[in-house]
Amino acid sequence: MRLLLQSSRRFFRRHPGQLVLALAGMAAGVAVMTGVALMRDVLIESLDGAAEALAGRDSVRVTAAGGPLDESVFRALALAEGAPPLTPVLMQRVAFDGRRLELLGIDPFSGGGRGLLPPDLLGQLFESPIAAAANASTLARLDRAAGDPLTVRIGDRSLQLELVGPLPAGQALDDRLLMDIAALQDAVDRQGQLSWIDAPAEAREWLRARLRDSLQIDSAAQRRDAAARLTEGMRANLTAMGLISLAVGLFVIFSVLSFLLVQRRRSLAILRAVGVTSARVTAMLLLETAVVAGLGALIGLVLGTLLADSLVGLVRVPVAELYGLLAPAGVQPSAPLYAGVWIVAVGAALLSVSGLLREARRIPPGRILRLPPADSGQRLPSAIAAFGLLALAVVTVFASRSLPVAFAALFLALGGFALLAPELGVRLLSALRRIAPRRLPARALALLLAGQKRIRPALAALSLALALAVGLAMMVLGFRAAVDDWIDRLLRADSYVTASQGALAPATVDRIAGLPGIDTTSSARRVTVDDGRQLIAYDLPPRAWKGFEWLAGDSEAAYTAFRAGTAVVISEPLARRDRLEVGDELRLDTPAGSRPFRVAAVYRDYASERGTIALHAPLYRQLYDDRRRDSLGLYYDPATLDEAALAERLRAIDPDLQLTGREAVRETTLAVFDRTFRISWALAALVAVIAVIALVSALLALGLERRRDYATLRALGLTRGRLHALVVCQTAGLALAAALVAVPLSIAIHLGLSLVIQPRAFGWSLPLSWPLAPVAVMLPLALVCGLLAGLYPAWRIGRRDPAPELKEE
Amino acid sequence: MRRDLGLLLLLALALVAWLGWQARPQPAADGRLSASGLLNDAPESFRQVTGPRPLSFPADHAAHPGYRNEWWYFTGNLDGPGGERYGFQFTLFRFELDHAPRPDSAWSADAVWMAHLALSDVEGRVFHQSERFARGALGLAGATGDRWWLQDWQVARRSDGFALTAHAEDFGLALELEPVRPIVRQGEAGYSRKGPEPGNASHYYSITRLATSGRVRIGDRERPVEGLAWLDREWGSSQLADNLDGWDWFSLQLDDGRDVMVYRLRTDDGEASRFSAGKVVYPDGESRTLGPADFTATPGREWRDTEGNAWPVEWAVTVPSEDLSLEVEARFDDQRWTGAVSYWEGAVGVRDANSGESLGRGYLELSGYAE
Repeated sequence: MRLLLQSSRRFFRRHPGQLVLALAGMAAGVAVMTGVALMRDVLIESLDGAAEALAGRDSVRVTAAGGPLDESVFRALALAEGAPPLTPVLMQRVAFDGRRLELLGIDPFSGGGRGLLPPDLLGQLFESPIAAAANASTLARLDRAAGDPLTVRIGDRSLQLELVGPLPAGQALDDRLLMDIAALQDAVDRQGQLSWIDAPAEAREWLRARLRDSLQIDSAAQRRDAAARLTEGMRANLTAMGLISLAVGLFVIFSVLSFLLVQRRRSLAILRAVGVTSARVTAMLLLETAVVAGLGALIGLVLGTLLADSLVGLVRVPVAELYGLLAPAGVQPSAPLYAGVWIVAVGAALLSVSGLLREARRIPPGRILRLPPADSGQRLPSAIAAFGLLALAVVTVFASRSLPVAFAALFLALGGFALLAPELGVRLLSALRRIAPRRLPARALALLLAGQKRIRPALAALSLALALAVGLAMMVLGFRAAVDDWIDRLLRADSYVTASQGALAPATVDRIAGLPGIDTTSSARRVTVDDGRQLIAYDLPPRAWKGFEWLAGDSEAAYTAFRAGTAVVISEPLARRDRLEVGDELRLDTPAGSRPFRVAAVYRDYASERGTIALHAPLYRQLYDDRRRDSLGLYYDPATLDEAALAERLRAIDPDLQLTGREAVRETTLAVFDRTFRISWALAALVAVIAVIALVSALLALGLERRRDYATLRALGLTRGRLHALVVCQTAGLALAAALVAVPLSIAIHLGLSLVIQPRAFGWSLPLSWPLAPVAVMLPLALVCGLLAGLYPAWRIGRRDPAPELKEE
Repeated sequence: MRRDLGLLLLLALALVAWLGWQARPQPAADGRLSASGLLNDAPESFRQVTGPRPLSFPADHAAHPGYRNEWWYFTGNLDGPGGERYGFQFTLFRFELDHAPRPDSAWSADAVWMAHLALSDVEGRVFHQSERFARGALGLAGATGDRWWLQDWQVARRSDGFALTAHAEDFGLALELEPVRPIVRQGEAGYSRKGPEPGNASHYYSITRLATSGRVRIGDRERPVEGLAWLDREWGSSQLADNLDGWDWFSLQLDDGRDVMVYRLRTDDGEASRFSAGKVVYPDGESRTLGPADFTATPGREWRDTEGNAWPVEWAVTVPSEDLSLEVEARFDDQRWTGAVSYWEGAVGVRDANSGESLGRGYLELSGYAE
């Protein structure tokens, strides 16, 4: 074995570039996988940070459905006999410099809040009504020190705070500032209100016995589940990207290791000739793979942690915007997570080289000529396997409606394609060779094709990576166009009025509706009812009704039934989630009792993954005794409207009112959309980077393998410049072939993501679209990348003195 | 070969170490509230105790806003039906906050309240303790002439005495306390000087003997009890002089009917301050004030707690004018408060120093030994 290890070591010492490439491929794949796993954790585990820090991990929480909790609830509970430790919290979202922060108003003397505050901080919170305590990482991110002022915004208002700290608290309080509850209530004019009360898990029964039924009590697990459900679609997409990156990374490893095998065919044959058994050779190669993959995976874990730390912001922003959840600003790696990723990655690497091992075992003793490996004649079986996988993928998609199954099908399809891609690529290269205009490119391609066994893994990796990046881009662009259409159609009013704090009172609504220049108004009130479903109460004039796109049901009939209060209309995600169809009955538990409604129609909606039930507003107000509105749509009377005067008059009614034009609402919606998909773009770019590593490693390997041929050509008079051109032609040809193969696949991925994954992950469907811009960009870009990727191998190859290369054998 | 392997191993180790550092457990929040911050010198806006004032009841049972701190302090020794012995303490502390403009909110507090409930199980040698806090807002805590409370821990004044109910998770008390001595004004008609500055004083009155009966609970086990309790009431703003290190306070109920209270204020150099004082209350309710020269209190054996602090749990107390030479000994050593404030408050037995005969029992409070 010592001899074998020596041989291994000598080889890597002579070819450090190979080692670096193998490590780089493994590290890059594992890095993306690790980064994704860490970011996923941010989306599930830590969303409940406020409760975790203030009341412990397993607290139960009392909330009022759809609104703030009256502080008298806390008072009654706290004074009741046998009261458990109760933690009252008032939470206020604010913005600072485009960043979201939460102000948590706590009573440091109630429940669990006490242990958080060292005496000096406690004193400071009580001394100054604008004091807000932050942990060290929050202070660092805000670029502030304790004692500095901080001006935050609440809608149009600004609020002056003074930072104190640092709070000795971990990331659960990232971007959360603690204030005394009295100070916060006063500062944001929310006297009498609490957001929730936390209590120890054991107190659940005690609380239930003393609380009105309309108040909710949720366990920590329920809250975490809810947070996890909210971000399910996002997490599923991230996971898929992580696995794909690992798969592409494995192709790099496979390609490098298979090349290493070729390089060492000769020395392995000699070893066999001196009596080393094939089992030992296999063991040596396995050990080698394990060491390279293990080390590469360790590097990948480190890079992935750094990557996640810098990308987590791309995930936090949309999570806050879409779900109102404040995720921690940093990732929290754990030993089990690291170990899990490492084992999966190294195991996958060992599996991926098992095919190579078979080849190594078959090296007969003493066969020392480095002949190009014989065509294995396995093309037919691999084609059959490929089509089998594709067929299985199709069957799987239709077998179940679940999201994980859809992802499994996607992976089966990608696997099938990975088997098919090399063959398609090679055929494309032969076609390119035939139509190549000049002798040099044609010869370059011919040489490339002669070593086709080496370029096959590279072709698969490259085309897969390119197709994924492009398919993803197409899906995002198609989705964006769909959202744009939807919002454009939905926004019928000329402008919208909201209150920067809370909802619009009925009196305010009446006064706005009576302003000169207003023809008519629409209104919306969005609440989450006791059972967690989202209800939206609409006052909709006929023009507003026309803004809905109906996916099922008759618009006119539905409008009549909706206004009559006998029917509701529901959003597509709800219809899909609860399997509801037009004509089905749906029950709502109202304070006035349970009431049945008929589903009159299903509308397209990208606003909520949970789904929404839309109810005629007068009926809602009657059933739920809630006369407030969240927003008001204003339909102008062009003859009498004076927009500047309108804004003035609104301000006179209440300075808290905000008037937003139609176009501004649309732009805001699209801006949120764009921020949501920034993480997808980032991951697509990373996959592309791994693809480039795959390309370079394959070409370098190929170049080194063919160095004798190149030496011959040089000896025959090929100049160094022309040799460079030859190599660059090969890389460009390879990249172009991979890109061409990727085109149909990227379209297939786009369709799969848009038509299968999106509806299953989020509940909404996307209209079929063909945004071909990414394809148009990818082809020339791949060609340029191919050209650039050829420069290094060309330089390496060109630098060699041909004489020793020729003499070697 | 070895070198390469070593290098590889070193690299792997470095990577693993970095990962291990990233995956280290997060530091837990370890900040603890200390009430001592609230016991600091009071700003000038607080009222000072500078001389005697007439006390009237029940009005002076209520809280006295304007003063920095105030307490309602019950201690006592109880017996169960099988002869088992218990000590108990129930205290409400009120710390008034600095006088600054308060936010417009029902949560705006003028004071912070702390309640301490302890039960010494003498046979089991277990000191049960529980503390609670509340802001003086929303009616969470308070004291009127008729009721002193923090959430559901409360003392209600009855025509014949007081009813105390306080239950922590694993122990609790429900006691009726009936005064068998009149209210005693400590110091000079209730004006108790503790230091040389004009404000170094408190208003201080006691009921030194209350016949007590009721029930104590430890875990799920409830026992009927009977015994004697002691009530101390005190308020002021900056009672203690700056050079004080702590105090040793004794409340002793002797079998012959005399009640003896002495406290020794310890200066930085370990000596008794000249403002140390005491009171003897006779069975007929008459009382006599003791000056620093009228008594001695000498520490004996020390008990070391887990943090290494030494607490003198045995004392020699003499009051020559009363012909008392007493040995005061903790019923058991560990009766130390480990909550927000660190002090020792426990049941003690009293014996004659010469004969060793039991003369009575009482409570001992030790402060300033763990700072």
